[in-house]
Amino acid sequence: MTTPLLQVRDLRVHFNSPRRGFGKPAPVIRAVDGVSFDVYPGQTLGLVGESGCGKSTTARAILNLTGNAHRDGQVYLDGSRIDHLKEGGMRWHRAKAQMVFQDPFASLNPRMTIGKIIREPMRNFNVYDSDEDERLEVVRLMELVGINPRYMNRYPHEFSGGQRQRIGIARALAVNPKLIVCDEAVSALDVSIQAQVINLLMDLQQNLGVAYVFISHDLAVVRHIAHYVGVMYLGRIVELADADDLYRNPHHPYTRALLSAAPVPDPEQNVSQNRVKLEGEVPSPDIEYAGCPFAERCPEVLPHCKSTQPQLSAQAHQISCLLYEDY
Amino acid sequence: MEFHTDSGVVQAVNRVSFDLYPGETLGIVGESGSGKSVTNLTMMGLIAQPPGKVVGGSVKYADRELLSLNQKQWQQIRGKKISMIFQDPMTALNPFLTVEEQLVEVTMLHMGLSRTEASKHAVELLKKVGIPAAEKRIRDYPHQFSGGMRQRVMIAIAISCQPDILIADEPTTALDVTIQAQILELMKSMQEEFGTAIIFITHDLGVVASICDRVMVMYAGRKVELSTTINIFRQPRHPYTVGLLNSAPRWDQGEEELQAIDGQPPDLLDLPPGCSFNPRCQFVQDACLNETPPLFSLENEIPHQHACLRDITTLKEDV
Repeated sequence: MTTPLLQVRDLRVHFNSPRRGFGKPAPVIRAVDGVSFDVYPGQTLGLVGESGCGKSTTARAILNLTGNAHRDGQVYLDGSRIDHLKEGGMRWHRAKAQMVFQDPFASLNPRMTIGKIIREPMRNFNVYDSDEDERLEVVRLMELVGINPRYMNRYPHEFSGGQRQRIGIARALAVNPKLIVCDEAVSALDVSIQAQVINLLMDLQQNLGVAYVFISHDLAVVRHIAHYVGVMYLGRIVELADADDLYRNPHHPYTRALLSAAPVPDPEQNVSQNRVKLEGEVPSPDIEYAGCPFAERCPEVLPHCKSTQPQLSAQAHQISCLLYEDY
Repeated sequence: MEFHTDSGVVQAVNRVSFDLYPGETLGIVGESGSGKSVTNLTMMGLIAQPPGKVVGGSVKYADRELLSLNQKQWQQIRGKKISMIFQDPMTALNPFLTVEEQLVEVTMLHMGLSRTEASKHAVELLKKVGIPAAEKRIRDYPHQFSGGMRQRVMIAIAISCQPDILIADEPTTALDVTIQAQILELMKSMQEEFGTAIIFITHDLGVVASICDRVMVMYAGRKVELSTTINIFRQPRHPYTVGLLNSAPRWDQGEEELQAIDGQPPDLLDLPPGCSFNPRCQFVQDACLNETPPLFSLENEIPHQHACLRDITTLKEDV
């Protein structure tokens, strides 16, 4: 097998939350609590989960964007370790890994023309020697993402949400990255436009061989775009497998509950669907669990789940659940 | 319904007609700017005029014309006979009042309950919508509840007078899927208990398929298709509906490429002549460029209305 482009090992990100009272210790938010995965060149890893499961923090932690949070574990990008780097050292790795954000309104500078926005990363990393080469590359990128290069001198507000997301993708591609981290990149778009952007991302992968870490709460979108999918709950990956395998054959009780809660656009399917109902809500991430963090809501909880920490199994279909420990 | 803006007149809702029957759930689907929310805000008399202006039309509830009501008459109906829940319960609830005060306010006003009766009623309601430790939580403020719990509080307020109609505007869009499933379940059971008719506004076709009896599809302020949920999903007749269904990703079937609808969402200030969907339609004909399509009704056993000039009985096979 090829060597992974990105290796994440036992990643932990803890935030200090504000004190809840005078003299009381500040609770620690365990946003990401021991996450490991590999991403291979030209492939897509999807990370799914509900709000607060740590998927976005994971995305940011990979690219050293978690600020003052306490971070632990190792991240290897294209063979070099990057998790311990300061901003200066990280800079030269940023050309290899870029990011596309959720909000196409907030992530483009409103005072720059889109031509300048797309050109800026090329300038930062001195990709091209002459202005003319840069301009030609901007034209090529705009055509690549389906924006007419005639509009190069327009400003972001003159574009719709879907077009802005295309501009954000062109900017990410400007330095020929090997990896793009997409954090809810299509979540703010209408269905018909969302499908356009998903198809664009998949075409680009096919033509350019770029790898994605695709973060989304939308199980259906991830199914379409990802080769491998990791399901996260309370800062951990509870199941990680080949996308088809995971959706056809979900093992972890949380994955099964999540899938059965997600409605399918098919009225007959929904009637026949066998619902695994989850009671309650995701608990606060400031508790340290002795056992499985999902045990309290798990419909199939075993007596020792609350005291024994499950480990992610080593098979191709990885599961972190005591129900499958022997399997 | 028109809006007068600095850049011109926007016809946000254009000749939309539909009926709502007791106890049914009607879904209104469409993308941003299709007019689905404005339709319902207009029905509720909640559009500020100006900038809004109702140019024509009629909304009848139990033989009463709602569009000609004054504020005082409206207050007799809003919250009592017709109530509403919104997408964002944090902005819809008053952050300065406890949940109890917000619940009690409604029943004291509309049902003439005394403070103690209303309080008791409020605790009952919170229990009914599944809030644990209701007696204690009722004295909490909205920010002390999670998103899903706040939406339950909203539902409790909305059903407190057992309204005939509940308008739900994207009530689960901001929620996680497992919580969304809980809220949909709750709305169904409330409907069974009180026989409330629900208008469910959403852009999520999965939610439509799981909760609605009938569906109205809107595009650029117009109704483009209306039929039973099964019919809309099985035999869609408008090219936009077909496109919408084909572009929705499904987690239960993966590999094939999504069929996106080409082009950009419509600009309401600058709609093309003829059918608004014509720049994006793969079946566009000459007539579509000049003529606004009328509404065709197919009166089979199941009524099915659609606004497309092309006879697309064979559309499904074409695609």
